[in-house]
Amino acid sequence: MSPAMNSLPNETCKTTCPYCGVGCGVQMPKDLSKVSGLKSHPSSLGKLCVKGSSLHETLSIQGRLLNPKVHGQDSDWEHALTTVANKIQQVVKDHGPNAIAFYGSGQLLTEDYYVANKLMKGFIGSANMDTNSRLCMSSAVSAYKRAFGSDTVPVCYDDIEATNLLIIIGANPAWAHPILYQRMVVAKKDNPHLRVVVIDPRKTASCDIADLHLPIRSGSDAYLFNGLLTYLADNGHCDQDYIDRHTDGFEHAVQQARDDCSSNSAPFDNNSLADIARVCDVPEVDIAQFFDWFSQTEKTLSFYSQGINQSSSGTDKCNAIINCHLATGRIGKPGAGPFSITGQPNAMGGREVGGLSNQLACRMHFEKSEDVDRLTRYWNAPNIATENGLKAVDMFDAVERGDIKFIWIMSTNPLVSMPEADRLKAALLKCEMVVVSDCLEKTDTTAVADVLLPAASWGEKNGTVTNSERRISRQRNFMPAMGNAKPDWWIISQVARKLGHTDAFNYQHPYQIFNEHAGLSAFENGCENFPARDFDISGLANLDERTYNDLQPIQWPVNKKYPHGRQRFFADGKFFTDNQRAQFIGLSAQLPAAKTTPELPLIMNTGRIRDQWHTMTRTGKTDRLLQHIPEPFVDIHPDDATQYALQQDDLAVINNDNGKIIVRVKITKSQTHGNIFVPMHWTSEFASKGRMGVLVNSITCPLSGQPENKHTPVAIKKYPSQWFGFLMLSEQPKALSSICDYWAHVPFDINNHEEDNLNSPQGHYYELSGKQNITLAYQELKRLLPDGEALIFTDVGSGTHRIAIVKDNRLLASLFISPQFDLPNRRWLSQIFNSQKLTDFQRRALLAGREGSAASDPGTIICSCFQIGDKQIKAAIEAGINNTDQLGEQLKCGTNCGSCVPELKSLIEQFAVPAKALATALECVN
Amino acid sequence: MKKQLMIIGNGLATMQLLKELGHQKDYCITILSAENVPHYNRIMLSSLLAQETDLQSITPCDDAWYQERNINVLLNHRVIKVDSKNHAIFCENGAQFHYDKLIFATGSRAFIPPMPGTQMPNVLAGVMGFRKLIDVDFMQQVTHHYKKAVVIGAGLLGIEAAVGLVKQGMNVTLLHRRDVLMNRQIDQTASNLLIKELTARGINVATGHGPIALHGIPTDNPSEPHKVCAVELDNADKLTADLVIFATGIVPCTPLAQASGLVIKKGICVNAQLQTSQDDIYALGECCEFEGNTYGLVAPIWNQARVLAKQLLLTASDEMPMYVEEKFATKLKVSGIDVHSMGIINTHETDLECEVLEFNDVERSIYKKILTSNQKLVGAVLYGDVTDSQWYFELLQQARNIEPIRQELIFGQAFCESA
Repeated sequence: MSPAMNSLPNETCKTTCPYCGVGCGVQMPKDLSKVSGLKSHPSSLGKLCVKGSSLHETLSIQGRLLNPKVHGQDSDWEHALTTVANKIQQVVKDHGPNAIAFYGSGQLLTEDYYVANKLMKGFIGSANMDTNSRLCMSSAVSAYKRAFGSDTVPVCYDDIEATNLLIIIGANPAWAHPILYQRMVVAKKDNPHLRVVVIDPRKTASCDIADLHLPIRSGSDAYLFNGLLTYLADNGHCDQDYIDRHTDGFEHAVQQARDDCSSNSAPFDNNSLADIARVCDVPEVDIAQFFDWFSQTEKTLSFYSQGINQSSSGTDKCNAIINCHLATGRIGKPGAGPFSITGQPNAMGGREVGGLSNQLACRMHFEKSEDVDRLTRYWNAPNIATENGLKAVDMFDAVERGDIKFIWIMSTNPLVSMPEADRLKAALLKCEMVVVSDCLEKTDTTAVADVLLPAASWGEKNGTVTNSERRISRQRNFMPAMGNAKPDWWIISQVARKLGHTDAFNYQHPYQIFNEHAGLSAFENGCENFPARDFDISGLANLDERTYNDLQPIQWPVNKKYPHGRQRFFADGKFFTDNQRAQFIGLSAQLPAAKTTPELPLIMNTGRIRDQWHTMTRTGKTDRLLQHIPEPFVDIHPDDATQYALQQDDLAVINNDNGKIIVRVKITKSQTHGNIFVPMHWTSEFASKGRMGVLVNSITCPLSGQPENKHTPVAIKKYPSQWFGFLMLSEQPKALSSICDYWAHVPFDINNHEEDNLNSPQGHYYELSGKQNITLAYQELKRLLPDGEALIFTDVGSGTHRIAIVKDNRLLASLFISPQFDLPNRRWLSQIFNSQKLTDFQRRALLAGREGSAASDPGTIICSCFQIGDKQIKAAIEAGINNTDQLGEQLKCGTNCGSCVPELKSLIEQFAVPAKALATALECVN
Repeated sequence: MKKQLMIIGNGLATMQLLKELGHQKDYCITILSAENVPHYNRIMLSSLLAQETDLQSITPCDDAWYQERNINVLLNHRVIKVDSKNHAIFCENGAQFHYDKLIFATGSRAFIPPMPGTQMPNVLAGVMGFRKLIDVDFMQQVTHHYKKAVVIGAGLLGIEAAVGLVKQGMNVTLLHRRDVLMNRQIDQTASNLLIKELTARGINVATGHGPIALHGIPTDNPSEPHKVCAVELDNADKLTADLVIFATGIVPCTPLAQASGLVIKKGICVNAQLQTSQDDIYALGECCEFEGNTYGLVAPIWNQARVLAKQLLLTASDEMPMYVEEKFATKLKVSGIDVHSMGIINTHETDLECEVLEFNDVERSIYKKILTSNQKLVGAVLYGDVTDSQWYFELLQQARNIEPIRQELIFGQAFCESA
C-alpha cells in the first residue's frame, strides 16, 4: 500500500515556502533546526518573511491527524478508502455524478491537484471540482481569460524593479506578500523615478512607500479605472497604434465607460474628475494626480489582489484595470502590465491543472469542445465532464439543498473561509458523506467530517508548486510523514483504483504525475495546426526521478522556443483569442451589492495580518507569530468608536442577519469613517467567535463566482464584559465556551529545545471575557486548572483574582481575572513555562505576571527585621564597609533585634576587601 | 570631674543606651547587674535554648569595648534600695554608690497568672517564666530528667520556648487560650500556617483553652516545694507536665522603683525626656510607662535610648529631645519563620472600611495580607515572605495613595517600581 517515498535528503533540503503566492525558496538543514532563505531561488533571492522564517517551529506533531477516522473512530487506510469509494459508487449510481463534489485548495501540490481533477472530471464525470482559490483569484482568472483569451499572467517579479509607476490596488503586500514588498521598498529606494500609488480604503502598512494614497470608497475601484480610461482617451494618452493592431473593442469600452459616467442612474452627472472624486470619496486633486502620473508613465505596473477580486463585480474590476493597460499598450513590456498577485502557494498550480470547476486540465476550457475531446483522448477517460461544474458558493448551496450527497474537502477549512459559514456548517452536517483530507485533526471543518484522511504536510510531501509569476518550484520532503499520513495524490489515486480506474491512477511517484501533466501541456499544443495554448511545459515532459528531484525553479512556458522559461507574455501583441487580439471589455462600474442600512451602518472589510496565514492551522502553531497580534480584532476609526461607545481594548459584537462575532477593539485612523476591518484568520480553534466568514454575504461575482468578502454591512456594539482574564495551561481545557462568551486561543511552545522541536509540548493561552459576575467566573474557571501547588492572589475589593499552579517547581497553569482589561503582559508568563526550576524570585513573580526588577532582589535574607539580603550586604562590603556598625548605618541590617550580627560579621570576613588590596585596586583604577 | 551615671539593669535597653552615648566625656558610667554574666542579647535566648547558638555569640561586646568607653560593669550587684534624696544606691551585697544621674533599666518579668500552684508561698517546682539566661540554664538542666513540658501562651516567647524544648527532646504542649496564635500580631490564616509548622516540628498545639490550676506532687525531700505534675484546663482536661513555662505576657519590674518613691502605674512613669517623678532619675525600656504605654518590642525602646542619650548629653544650647510614640511594625522571627505585621490586622477589629488583598502560597507556607482603606495601606500581615515589609511600612507611615499600584502591591516593591 505504501507509496514510493523519496529517500530523504542527507543534507540541507532546498524547498519552497508553503505560505503565500510569492513562493520563496527555503532551505531546511538536516537537523530541522532553523530554516533559512534559499539564495539561488530567483523569486526571493534568499529572503524570507517572519512567517517563512518560523517554518521550523510549525513541524510539531501537536494537533496532527495521524490516522484515518471513520465516523469519529480511528480506522485504517483500507477501511477508510473503501468507505469513501463505496459511497462515491453508490451516490453516482443513485443520483448521478453531479451529486459528487471535490473541494480543493491552493495548498495542494500540482501533482495532488492534477490527480484530484483527473479523477473528478475525467472518471467520475462531473466538473464539481472547485477550490478555495475561488475565494482568492477567480475574478482575476475570468478577467484575464476575457481580455487575453487565456488565464495568462503576463508579468513577472522583475517588473517591480523595472517599473516607474507601481499601483498597488486592493492589496497589502507589506503584510500579505512581504518579500515582494521588500523588493518594492528596495526598488523605491534605488529608483528615484519610481512612484508608488496605493489604492485601498485602508491606510495599510504598504502605504509606507506610497507617494499617493487613494483611500477610495469601499468597492468603487471600477469607477476610478473607467474614469481613467475615459481620461486617457479624452486627453490623447492612448497608444492608438497598439490599440489598432492588437486589440478589439476599444471604442465600445470607452463609450461604455463614458456612458456609465454620464448616465443618470449612476452616481455621475458627467465625466468630470469631480464626479469620480465624489463617488470614490477622495479629493479631486489626488485623482488628478494619479491620472496624470498614469498618463505620463510608460512603465506602469498595476499590482492587485483581493481588494479587487473579492467583489460582486470582481471580474469587471480586473478588466477595468486591464483596459487601461491595453489602451496604453502597457502589457508584456518590462515594468508594465496588469499583475494579479495570488494568495496561496499553489493557486497558480491549481489553475494549471484545472482546479476550478470552470477549467479543464492544462488551462483548457469546457467552452472548447476540442479541448474536452483532447483531454478524453489523452486520459483515455471513460466519463469526462463536458460542462462547467459548480463554483464554491453554488457548490455549498447544492450541498445545502441536498443535491450534492458526497463532498470531499482537501487541505482547506471552508467553515472559516467561506461566506455565511454557519449556514454552510449546517449544510455539511446534513450531507450524506463529508470526507476531509487534512494534516490537522481539529479544524472547524474536520469537526463535521464523516471520514477523516490524514494528509502529509509541508516537509513530508513532495511535488511542485507554481507561484504568482508562473514559476514552478519543487516542494521537497525532508522528513517522513507523521503517523499514517499520506500524500494527497496517493490518497486520491487509491480511491480511484478502488473505483476501478487502476491503470489511469497507477502512480508510484509524483514525478510520474508531473510528467503526465507536462505531457498534456504539450499534447496538440501549437503544432500540426493545433492552436497554441499558453501553458506549455513540454520541456519538462520527460523527467526521470532524478531530474525531477533536481528540478530548478523555472517560469513557464518551458518549451523548444523557451527552454529556460519565459519572463513575460504578449510582448509581441499576440494573444490566445481566436483572432489573437486582446479584448477590451465594456463594463459598467458597480458599487458593492450589499448596502449599508440604519440597522447595519458600517462596512466590514476583511484581510490578512502580517504574521498569520489563512486559518492559522500552521502559523497558529508558533507563538512567535501570534505575539504580533494574538486575538481577532476590529480596526475602527476614532469617530466611529466614539459613535458606538467603544474604547480601546473593549470587546465588540459585530453582527448582521448572518450571525455575530466578538473581537477586540483597536481604534485607528488607518480606517476611514464608516469602514471597519476584521482579519480573516481566526477559526473556532483559535477564538470563540472570531470567524469573520459567518458575517460575509454569499453574494458573488456572476462571472467568477468569487464572493464579496471585502464589503459586508454590519452593526457594531460594545460587548458587556463584566470581567477580563487569561488562562494558561498545558492541556487544552474542555468546555471553555460554556464559561466565557469570549476566548481567543494562543498555543505556545514549552521547553522548545532545538534538538526536539517536533515533539515539544505545547502550552495554551486564552484571552477571556464574559458577562457573568467576576467571582462566579473565577470559580468556574478555577475548575479547569490542574492539580498542584496553588498560589493565589485575591483582591475582592477590585475583583482581581490570580492563581498559579506549580508542581515540582514548574509552572503548570495560571489564571488571571480582573474587571478591567489591565492584566500584565502574557509573554513573560508563557516563557516561564519553560523554566525547569523556578527560582524563589520567579515563584514570587508568577502572580505578578512579570519579571519584576531583578535589581531589587535582595538575595537570601540575612536581616529579618529590615529584610536585608546577602546580595545587598555583599555589595556594601565590597564597596568598602568593614564593620557591622557601618553596615547598620547604611542598610539598617542588624540594628533592630541584632540577631543577625554574627552572620553580618561572617559576611564581612568573607567578602571584605583587605585595605591594602583595596588601595591597590584603586590605584589600578586610577 | 566626671559625673557618676549609674544604670540599674544590663539588658537590651541599657546596651542600646550605651551605644547611643558613644565615646562621651561627661560621665563615668557604672552598670549594676543582678545577673552573673555580662550583657547578652535576650532576644536570642530561645536560640540558645534550642542550642542553635552559644553564649559567646549572643554577647555582643567584650571587656575592651566597655573599657574604651569608660564603663564599669558590676555583675552580681542586685540593688535593694535607692535613696533619691541623697543620690545613693544600696546593693544586696552591701555595696553603696553615689549617683549624679540614675537610670532604671530594670526590664520586665514574666507575668504568671494567679491560680493554684503559681502563688506564693505554694509555688510548685517546675513552674517558671522565660526571661533570663538562668531560665535557659534551668531548662537545659531539667530536660535530662523531665519529659513533658507545657508552655502556656503562644506569643512569640511561648512559641520559641516550645520550639527550644522540643529540640531538647521534650514532649511539648503549647497551650493558647485563643484560637489564633500570636493573636496580637497575626490573623487566623497566618496562625493556621504557624500551627501547621509547629505541629510539623513535633509540638502539640492546643488552642481555645486556658489553664485554671496547676497540680503538684510532693518530692522525696519533704522540705522542698511540691513538684508540678499536671495542668488543669478550663474544659476540665488535665495535661501531665514536669515543666510548665508561662509565656503569658510580661509586667514591668517596678518594686525597686516603687520602694524608691518613684511614681508607678503599670510601669515607672516617665515624661517625654524619660524622666521619672524624681530629679536625676530616668527610666527606659520594658520597665517604663509613657502615656499609658508599656513596651515589649525593641523598636520603641531604641527610640527611647536615643532620646535619653541626647537628654543626658544635653547642653544649654540644645533643643530638648522628645520621645514620641510612633507607629511601628512588629517584626518577628519565630524559630526561623519570618512573621511581620503592622497596623490593622483584622477587618473586624477596626471601624475603618477596609479592603483586603491576599496572597497565598500554601505549599511554601507563604501568606500575605494587605488591608487598604480609602486608597491607603492601613495594615499588613506577612508570613513566610516578609521581603517587602519595610516598604509596606513606609507606605503605611507615609499614608501614600496605593491605588496606582494596587494590582502589584502584594507582589512587592520589585514589581511596583518597575511598573
